[in-house]
Order: sequence, then structure tokens, then C-alpha cells
Amino acid sequence: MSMNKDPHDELQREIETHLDLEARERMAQGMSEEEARRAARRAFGNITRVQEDVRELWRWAWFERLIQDLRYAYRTLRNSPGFVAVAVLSLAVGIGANTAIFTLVNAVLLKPLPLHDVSRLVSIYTADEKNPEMMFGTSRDNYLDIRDSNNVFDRTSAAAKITVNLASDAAPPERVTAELVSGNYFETLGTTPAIGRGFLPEEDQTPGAKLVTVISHELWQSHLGGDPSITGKTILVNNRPFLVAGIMPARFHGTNSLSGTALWVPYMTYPVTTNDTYRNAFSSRRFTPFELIGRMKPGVTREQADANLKTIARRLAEAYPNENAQRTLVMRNVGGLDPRETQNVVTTVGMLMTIVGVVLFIACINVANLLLARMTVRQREIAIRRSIGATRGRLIRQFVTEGALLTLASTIAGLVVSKISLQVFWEYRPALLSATALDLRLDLRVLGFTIAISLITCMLFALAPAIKASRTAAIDLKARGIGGSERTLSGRHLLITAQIALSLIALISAGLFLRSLQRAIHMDAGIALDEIAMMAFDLGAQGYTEAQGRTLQQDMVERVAALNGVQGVAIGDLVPLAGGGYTRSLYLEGEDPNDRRNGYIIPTGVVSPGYFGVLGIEMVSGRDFADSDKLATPTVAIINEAMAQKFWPGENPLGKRVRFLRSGYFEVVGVVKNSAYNTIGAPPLPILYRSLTQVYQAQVSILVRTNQPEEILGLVRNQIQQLDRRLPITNVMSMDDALYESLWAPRLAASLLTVLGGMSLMLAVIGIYGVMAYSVSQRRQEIGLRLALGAGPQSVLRMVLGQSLRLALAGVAAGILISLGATRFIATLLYGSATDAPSFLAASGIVVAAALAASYLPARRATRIDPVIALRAE
Amino acid sequence: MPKNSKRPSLIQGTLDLLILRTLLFGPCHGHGIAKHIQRTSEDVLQVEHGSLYPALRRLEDSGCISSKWESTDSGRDMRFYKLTAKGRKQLEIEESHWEQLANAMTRILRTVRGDT
Repeated sequence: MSMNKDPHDELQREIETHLDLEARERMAQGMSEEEARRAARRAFGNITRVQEDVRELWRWAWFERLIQDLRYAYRTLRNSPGFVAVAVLSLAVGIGANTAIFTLVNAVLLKPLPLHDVSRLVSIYTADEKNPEMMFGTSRDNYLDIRDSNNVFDRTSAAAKITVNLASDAAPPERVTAELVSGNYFETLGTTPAIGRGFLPEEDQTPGAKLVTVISHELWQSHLGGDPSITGKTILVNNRPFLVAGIMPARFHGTNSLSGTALWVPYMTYPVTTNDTYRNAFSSRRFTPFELIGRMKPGVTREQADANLKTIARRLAEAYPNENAQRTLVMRNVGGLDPRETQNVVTTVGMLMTIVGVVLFIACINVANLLLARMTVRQREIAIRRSIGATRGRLIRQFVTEGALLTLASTIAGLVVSKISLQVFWEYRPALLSATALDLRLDLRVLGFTIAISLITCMLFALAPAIKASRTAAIDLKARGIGGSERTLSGRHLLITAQIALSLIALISAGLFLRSLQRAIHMDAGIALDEIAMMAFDLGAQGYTEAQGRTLQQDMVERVAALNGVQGVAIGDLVPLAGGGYTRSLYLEGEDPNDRRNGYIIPTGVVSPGYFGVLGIEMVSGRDFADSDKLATPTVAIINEAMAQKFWPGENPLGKRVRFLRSGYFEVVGVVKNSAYNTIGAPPLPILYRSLTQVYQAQVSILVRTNQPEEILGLVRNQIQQLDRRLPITNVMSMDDALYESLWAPRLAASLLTVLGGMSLMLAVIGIYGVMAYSVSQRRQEIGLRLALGAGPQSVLRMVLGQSLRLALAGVAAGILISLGATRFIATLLYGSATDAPSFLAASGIVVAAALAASYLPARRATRIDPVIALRAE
Repeated sequence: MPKNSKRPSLIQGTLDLLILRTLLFGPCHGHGIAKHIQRTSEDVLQVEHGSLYPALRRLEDSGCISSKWESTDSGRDMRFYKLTAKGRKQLEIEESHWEQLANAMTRILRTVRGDT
């Protein structure tokens, strides 16, 4: 029956009773009362300290223990700098790589846009029942209807990405990403220019009437030298003077952070800022380039907004069934991925996350292995601490504290690594990412992620060995006294096998990517890869009429053809491996283009006579385009074998006729071999070529056949610049460069995996060495006995090497099995087979050789054991 | 520990063992436990009485012992400690550890002497 619930009072009473009893006892032995009380106090010790000790138990025990553990952990780690260095390095690489990739993901996907009240903003896209996996933008006229008939948005604006030529006195001409926007764009986003003004209502009314632009902070700095008086002046956009109305704040990129928009123009500037295709289709409801952004009215829920959009979509489908049937409107968070690009980004991010995840996992295994090795050495210490009363929990806590300390150091180092690897990654970035597009600074979310993965890491590598060690220690004392333990050793064997397996997987994947790159480079792209130089330019954007443009193109071809070392020159809008051209709906003779069930979407190109010869694409049958194909003569087309196969299998395609939605018929006059389209090694797509002599194309590349493509680039550029100083020239490269760039994903994977595989193999080698050295030292007597009984050094060598070979082979077997399963996931990124035998064999060979090399030293040491000393040792 | 001391002072953790061992004979209050330890070790182990109480709290926290206030025959209210089932098990483990440690220490000390 407790009289008092306060534990402090209880203790106080207990102590008083104790002292009283003790004093009485002593008085009974004949002491005076005063003496007895003093003696009782002496025997008790310091009362205050006792009280404090107890109180500490109640309150600060955990904190006290933590400090103690930290101090102890620090001392222990300080004594093994080699271990700490290896552990921190491997963890730092793992954590760093993950942080780097997450920084990218964060910048692309997660960071909220720097816009006013961004949660009230939504992006609106068109979904089509016929193409459920794709999302489309909206046509201009649909936009106007949505804007005017909805009752859920305060403001609705439209934006479409375009590319324009930019020139000023301050910098060389450039081609930059721009956005064609409705006049209320900045008001909808709730952002105003830092300097100057946004667009005025009258500036998006009349086509081509008001040439005005708002530029990004980055363009202002890079292209206009940060001139503060630039507003009110003009810059040349597509060779027309545009009034600079305002400059946006730094890091404002609209709603799409990936593209790095340099400037915004009202969409009614489209006659000047866009190309023919755009111009002709601008008012058609079939043409859907606009992303819509709506700002929801206060109090309107997303469900209400969505329902309203669905109603509008139904009305649009009824009013304009040709364009809007089976279509509806969907909402997305603003600033999320553009759903029209999701697939690419998700694939890339998924691949990167997987790779860095494996890196971190291998690092954890490495460190766990190292820790386990240390446990073996520290058995004595563990056993003694255990026996003088340290509980298992306390020991586990102790080891986890050591792990946490390691993790802390690794996290800090990892942040440094991530900074560096981000820079490296940036070098490898796909060309579609602009340099200023992403904000890659460390923020709280990235930091949180890093800390989270660090904690998981700590659990992974520190907890398991700690539990194992604390258990082993207890059993061990009973079983064999203080010494080594077979259990720990078998644990280490398991880890080493796992490590060998993992490094093998990494090496096999690296091998697959390397072989695939090699194969890709030597793959038949259907073109003369190493003999082509090229560059692109857009005459339409620069304001050339068709007649002027044709003259300039002709002049260019003649000038470049006259250069030394040039074997052939051609012009075309479709360039293998570098893209270009347009995909169009094609109709065979007799098919009604107005029936939506008809039509095949295929890539098409417009090319000059001689194009196929310059690229090295062979004619299979029929003839090439010629200057005799004129505007007045029947329009002709050349198709590739894939197209002949798709539409006229087993028939002669020559003489067949095809058409597009708004065009006459084109007669097939030639068939060429297949060539690479966007990437090398992909299954050939059907492609149709038309003649530049009959179809004018203002946005083209000039292609030069030469033995020195790199050297000729500068000369060609000079010739073009002499013809038009203000014309921006882009994609200046050799075909080899184009191939190299198109292979960025496998290249990045190959280099990451090679580094990772090499690193983990190195750590596996250290692990094998440790285990074998330990095993030899444990078996000294046995080996000594064998030697004494006449076993030759060779047989001892074989015995030890055999043991490590078994470990290695077990790891290799596991690694190969896992690889066979796992490499299927990267098969889409590979050229050639995902079960490429040489990659598997080479990687396995390297791993086995490394394992044998690592155990050679311990094995040789075993042969030198002196039987006499070994047998006398205990 | 002071070098010239003839009586070894207690290593932490050993005190727990001694307390548990004492309680094996039945519930007891703090003072009684101190006296019992002193008596049974024939005064070799000198327990500072005060150090008993933090140890008792620790053992109670870990569930090895439980406590109850009770009146003694002399009418005094005293806190009595009692061994729990868990404490009994813990005692067995600690005892065997202690034996192993003692054996191991003996062996080590002997080896060291033998080597030099």
C-alpha cells in the first residue's frame, strides 16, 4: 500500500528508514546514538548522489546512455581509421548518388512552382478515347470556348511551346524556346514582371499587329547583358523587331520547368513567330498545341471544376463532332510533368533511381560485411562487456550508435558527392534539357530525403550485424570460451557471396551496356555515319518568303559544294538520328481523308535531290528526286522498304499513289533502304520522302558528305553566315556526334555501372582477403599438422584457394541467376541481347580471378606455417 | 579500483546479480538486502548501501523485481522487494555468465603468467 505516489518522496522515505534501521543496529552494538547515526550515513555513502542516480534513471537515463554510447563509439572508430575511411567512402557514394538523382526528381517533379497560390491552379488537357495512353493540348478555338463558357475559373489562359530565332546587337544569333501565350497568361499565374509590364488586352487581338515580348531573367542576363534599360527597346525575334515589355523575375519558367522558356509572346504574334504548319492550322480545332491553365475561383472544389470541364467537353463534342468527338477534358496539377512527355521522363527517372538504389544497396552490404569482420575481432570485448552486465539491448544500441556515427559522417560526405555527381550528370544530360531549366539547389525536401535514406541505410548495415554479434557473443561464451566463432564466419561467407553476386550483377549490366554501345556504334544505321557533317537553320522564322528561301538554299548548296573536301551536299528536314521532319496522317488512294477511321500516322521528310546519295542510303528500285521534278510536274514521293512492306507487301510499290489531309496525290517513284530514325537499332519505321523541289520547307538541315566532318563544320558555318549574318545556326555536328548524343542513356548507365561494379568488386576483394586471412589463422594448427604429416605446400595452397573459389563460384552462380532475371528490365535500353554471353563470361571471369587473387596472399602464408610452432601454440 | 585495496569493490552488474541472488530467499527490504550481502560474503564485498537503491530501481524498471510497501512487525512501513519470474530467469543467465567470465579471466591470467 503506497502512501505517497511521488517516487521522489518514496525514495526519501526509504532512505530515511534505511538509515534509521542501520543506526539502531549499531546502537544495539553499543554505539552512542550520535555515533551510530554518523556511521549509518557513512555506510550509506553520498545520499544526494544516490538520489540523483535514481532520478537520472527516471529522466535522463536514455540521454546519458546516448552520450556515453557516442563517446564510446567515437573512441572505437578513431582507433580504426582504415575501416572508417572505407565505410564512409562507400556509404557516401551510395547516399550521394541517391541524393543527386533525387535532387533532379525534386527539381523536375516535386518542387512547387514559384507562383502565387499555386494550389488553385490546374492544367487542362484533352484526352482522346482512341488514344487512351496519350494526352493532347487544346486548339485555340476550343480554348476560347472553354475560357468563356466555364463558371469555375477566375481566369483561363493558354500557352504553347515554340522555337524562335533571336538576335540582338549584344550576342550572336540564337535559337531559343519561347511560349506563345494568351494575353492573360501572367495574370492567371499570379506573377508580374520584375521590370516593366506584362501583356495588354489589345496585344492578343489581331494577328501579327502587336509585336511585343516579355523575356526571362536568364535571357536578359545571358543575351542582353542585364541591360536595365532594355524595356521599351526592341530585340529581333524571327528577324522582326519585338518590343521588350518586361522582364520576369529570376527562376520564373512558366508552368513547365524542363524547357527553360527564354521569352513569351502573345499568341496573336503567330504569323511572325511560328512556321507555315502552325500558321495554316492556327484556327483549326484539329490543331491542339495549347496547354490551358485555369485559376479556380475561391470556394470552387476540384470536383466541381472537373465536372464543369466535362460538361463543356460534351458540348464541344456535340457542336464540332469532326474534331471533338470521343474527346474530353482532364485536369492535372499545374507544374507536374507535362503528360505529353510523361513516358520519357518516367522511364529515365525510373532507370536512374534503380541504378542508384543498387549502388546504395551494395554499399550497405559492403559496410555490413566490414562491420561483421570487426565483430569477429571484437568478440573478446563484446564477451566481457556482456558478462559484466551489459544487456543485449545495450550492446545493440552501442553498435547502432557506431553505425549512426558512421552514417552521419557518410551523409555529410554524401552531400558533397551528390554535388559533384550532379555536375557530372549534367554533362551527360539529354539534349532536351536546357542548362538553366532546373533549380538544383539543396532544399529541405532533398535534405529530408537524404536523411531518410541515411537512416534506412544505417538500419540496413548496422542493425543486422549488431543483433547477430550480440547474440553470437552470448552463445559463444558458453560454447567455446573467448575466441572466434564459426557462426560469425558463416555469416560473413554469406555476405561475401552476396557481395560477389551483386558486383557480378553490376559488372554484367555494365558489360551489357558497353557491348551494346559498341554494337550500336558499329550497327548499320543505313547511312555513312562517319562521313557526314550537318547543321540546321530556319529560314521561315527569319522572315524569308518561299522564293527568297529557295534562292538562299540554292546558294548555300553551291557555296558549300565548292569547298575543298566536300563530296556532296544536300538539304532535308529529316535527319537520321537527329530528328526533324513531321509525322503526318497518310491516306492511300481511294481512302476518304474526312473519315476519321482512315489514315496512318507516319514520319515524313522533305529532301533535295541527292539527299540519299549524300547520306549513303541505297536506292532499291525506281529513281531519286531530280531537278526535273518541278512544281508543274506530277508530285512524287520516295518511300523506304519498311513503308513498302507495310502498305504493299508483295506488290511493286512504284506507281502507287498516296495523299495527306490537305494535299494532292504523290506518286511513288523510288524505294530506298531503311535507315535509322531517332535512335539506332530501333525497328525501322515506314518513312515517306517528298522532294524539296516540289514542296518548300523552310526549316531544314544542310548535310555535307566529307572525309573530315569535324573539320568542315566551321567552313560550312562560315559560308552560311556570309549569306545571312543574323541567321541562327543550330545542331552543328557530325553524324557521329548525333549518334553519340542519341545514346546518352545507355552511355550514362554504362559509366555508372562500371564505376559501381568496380567499386563493389574492390570491396568484395577486401572482404575475401579478410575472410581467408582469418580462416587461415584459425586453422593454423590443422594446417601445421597437415604439413607435419607430409602434405606439400602445393596441396595446402590448393586447399585454401579452393575454399575461396567455392565462395566465389557460389556468388557467381547467384549473380548470374539474378542477372538473367533482372536484365530483362533493361532490355529496352540495349542494342542486342540481354543475355549476351560474352558480357556474362567476362564479368564472371573477372570476379573469379579477383577472388583467387585476393586469397593468394593468405594461401601462401598458409604454406609457410612452421608445423612445430603451430602445434606448440596452445 | 584502488590498487592497495584488499577488498575488491563491486563491478557494476555484479551488484544486480547479488541483489537477485539475495531475493531468491524471499522478499526483503533495502536494508535487509545490504546486510545479507555483507554477511554472506563474510564482509569481503563491501556494498555502499546507497548504491543499492539505484540498482533496485533499475532492476524494477527492467521487470526483474517488483516492490510493495508493507508494514513490518515493528509497525514500520517499509518497501519490500520481490523476485519476479523474469528476475529468476535473469539470475540464472547472470550466474552462468559470471561463471564463464570467472573461468575465462582465470584462464587468461594463467596464460599470461605462463607466457612470460
